[in-house]
Amino acid sequence: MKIVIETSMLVSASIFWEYEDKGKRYSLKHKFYNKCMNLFSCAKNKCMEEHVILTKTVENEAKNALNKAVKKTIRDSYVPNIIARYGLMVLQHLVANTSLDTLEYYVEECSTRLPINTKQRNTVKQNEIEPFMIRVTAGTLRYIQPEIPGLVKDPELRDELTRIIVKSLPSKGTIYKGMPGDKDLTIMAEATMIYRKFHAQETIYVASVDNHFKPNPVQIGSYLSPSVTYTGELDSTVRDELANKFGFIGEDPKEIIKLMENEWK
Amino acid sequence: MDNIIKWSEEDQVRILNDASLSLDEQMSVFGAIRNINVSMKSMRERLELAAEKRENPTTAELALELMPSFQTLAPDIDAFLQGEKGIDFGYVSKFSRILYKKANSLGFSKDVVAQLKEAKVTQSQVKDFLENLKKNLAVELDIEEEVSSTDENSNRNVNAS
Repeated sequence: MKIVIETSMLVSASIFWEYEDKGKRYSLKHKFYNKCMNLFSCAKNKCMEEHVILTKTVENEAKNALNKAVKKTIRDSYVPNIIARYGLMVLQHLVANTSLDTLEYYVEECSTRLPINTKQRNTVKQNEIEPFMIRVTAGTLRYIQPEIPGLVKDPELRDELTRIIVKSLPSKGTIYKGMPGDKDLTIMAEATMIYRKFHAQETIYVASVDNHFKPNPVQIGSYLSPSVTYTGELDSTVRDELANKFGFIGEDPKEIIKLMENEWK
Repeated sequence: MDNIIKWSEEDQVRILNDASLSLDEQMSVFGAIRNINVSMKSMRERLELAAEKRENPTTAELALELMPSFQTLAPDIDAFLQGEKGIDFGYVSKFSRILYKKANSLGFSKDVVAQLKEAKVTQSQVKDFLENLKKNLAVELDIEEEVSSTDENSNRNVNAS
């Protein structure tokens, strides 16, 4: 069993910063921090760091994502007052460095790196992954949105009607987040190459909190809607098709920890 | 040492006031000067304590160990502050980070609370910054949708109480 770390997983595991002042506690903790950090801890505690694979692309992408988010936050929080601006720069410097420290700890002490031939990777991405994903995602839905006439205004009635309509649907269709971006396709190509490197003798999991990689929760209504609900089901159709075709299995870190605990007793 | 601390304090503000710099350039040079400033201040404090205690030259040895990291970074910062063009900001950021890590590992760092207080960072500033950063991270990672489907609801938002 090998675990390939995906960018969102690495960043989520790195974002934890706490500050206490006059009895008030401020913390920046990524919503997926616990499960992502636990995966690294689990591998480290069981001395299985060599089974956790972190590629250079993922490391660079994670650092870029962090850097871009910090820059955007500075722009969003811009104030003309020089004292406030100075404080903002000191704050971002502290938060960014702490997160980078954690990220580098995972890279250096909790994982291993395999060589990736970037030319081959790009060929796999362009000739295999991308066409496959275009074909597969063409028939997918992001969420189920039953059409209810606008004259039904009461939110409770709308919710009830939605539930009834969804229940009566013969097939809910395949739920998937949509065509992945270029960076995700690159990581999929790398995971494919890692699978092939082991001549299909190892099960390759891709640990991710991004729905492009793992089974998608079945969702009713847009995530932007206040009445968005989840049926509790997971649709793994696209993830399974990817696994059948390219060998790697995208999974949530929480599920991977369970598998690790069973396999590495 | 006192002079370096004083200049580096002034230079941090000078960098922020320079409207001709891009945010990337400001962050890179500000970070480097700040790392020099913080590690120098911490070094001064520890050396003063060591002198009072008439300590064996352990702290002084550690301070000497950090010197090459300052020397690698200083020429580029100097050149930049004197208006020279063609500074490699990637190089500045890389060596600034090396200085930060080495200074931390040698114990020449300052407490977060002390740094924030010294910089007059307000509580609301911290709260707003963390909330915005959290949103921007989700956008950057393209996992905004996953927000609602999280199974870690207790950690859903920036917790500022």
